[in-house]
Amino acid sequence: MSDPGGSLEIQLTPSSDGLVCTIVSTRPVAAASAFVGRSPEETTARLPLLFSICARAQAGACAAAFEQASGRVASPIIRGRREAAIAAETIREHLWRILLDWPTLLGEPPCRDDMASALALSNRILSRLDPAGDLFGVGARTAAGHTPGQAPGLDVLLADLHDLLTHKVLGVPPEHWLSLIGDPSGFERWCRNTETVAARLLRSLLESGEASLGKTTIPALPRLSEKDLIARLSAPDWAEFVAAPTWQGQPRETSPFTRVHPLPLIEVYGAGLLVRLAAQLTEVATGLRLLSRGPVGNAGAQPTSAGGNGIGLGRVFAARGLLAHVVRVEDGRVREYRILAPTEWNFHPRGVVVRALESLPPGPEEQLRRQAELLITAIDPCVAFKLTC
Amino acid sequence: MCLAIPARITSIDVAADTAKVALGSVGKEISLALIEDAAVGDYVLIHVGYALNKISEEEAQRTLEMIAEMGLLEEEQELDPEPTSTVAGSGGQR
Repeated sequence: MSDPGGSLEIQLTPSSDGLVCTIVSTRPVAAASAFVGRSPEETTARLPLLFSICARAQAGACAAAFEQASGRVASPIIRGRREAAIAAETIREHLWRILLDWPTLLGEPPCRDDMASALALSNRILSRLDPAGDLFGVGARTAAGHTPGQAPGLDVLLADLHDLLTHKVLGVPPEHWLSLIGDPSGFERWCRNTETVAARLLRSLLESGEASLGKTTIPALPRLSEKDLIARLSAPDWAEFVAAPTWQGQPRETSPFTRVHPLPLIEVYGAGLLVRLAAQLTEVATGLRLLSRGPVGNAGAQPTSAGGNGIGLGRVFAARGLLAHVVRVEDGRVREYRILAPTEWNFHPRGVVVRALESLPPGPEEQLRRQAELLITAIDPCVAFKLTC
Repeated sequence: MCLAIPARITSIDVAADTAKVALGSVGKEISLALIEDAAVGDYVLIHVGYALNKISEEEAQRTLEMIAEMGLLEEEQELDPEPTSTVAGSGGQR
């Protein structure tokens, strides 16, 4: 059996005009149609079990969509706590790349013990944020809703996460690292003087002259209006759209890079590989900052506007980019359920990964493969990929 | 989307920190490096060669049923979460 989560086949072929990249995806982009006919309550309970890799982001988009469809608005405390849970999940997803995949790009074994610690810590943090497991229920009114403060015991866990990020990932406290994003000379000193895997990978790019590899002109996905996005996901060709989305006829990018967009570093190193990897590190540090503010501090998270006409849109920024769910509910049953995931934007057949790979310089196959692996990892699909050069 | 597949542990190699899991009639070796206290008979979520976390049998069955309803499981199950020609290490989890 092939992996039910699907995979990406990425092929790079030399031609007289340079490299040609093709991507074939087997991701089950219309799988959410399986919720048609179920109740919103059953769907919110089952969906995170199914899409369990980014379960909180998926559950957050799902809850927001159903709440809008039914005219409900989650309380600020619930919104804040949901946002915190999604941030914890985002940190975990980025650490997976940084601790398991980045070492192999340096020819080193994965940091499995550190990732095991991060995973256990992440699970404990998520349990504190959602002790009853109902935070993402439609109209959630959990204990979180009655406790307008920090989740009990969370401070200690966040201190442990701070230590893990400081000693195993960033080499400096996360807040200090964030200051480097606006300070290219300090950032370069960090790359050259820090001995974590992350710093050594970025340093290797500086030393090999590969920091700006993969620059493209694919624009960032703009903030789309609810009306436009619902209309596009409800159109007769919605299945083609969620498989290979474009906006105004153009492929777009939605990723940590477009969200962080660290202009001072882009001006020095270009919008290429080094800055993309730095953006993932930035999201780890900003995620901890968000968690440390607590659910009250996060209550500024924008509520989905109340609708109540049976149609709802839920949007969250997941680890790999914007995740959008659209639902249509009639007579207490789901009639349509559509999901638009970031991987389909970023791994579009004419999208940012394709253009970045096609921009690689000519060279020996081994070099081409290594550089392609670096770029794909930096843009980060959420499924396995097979690269053929 | 990003699915993780539930599977039941059928044997454990403590020294290697790996386990064999069963999904349908097919077995697969996975790493237990990221979780603690896994035991034979436990259900775990598998993603590209790693056990991510333990789940209850009920949760595993419900998830497998949903995957099957979506037509994403074939009759002859073969858990193949780590493509052989995928870039070593990276490309792995996803």
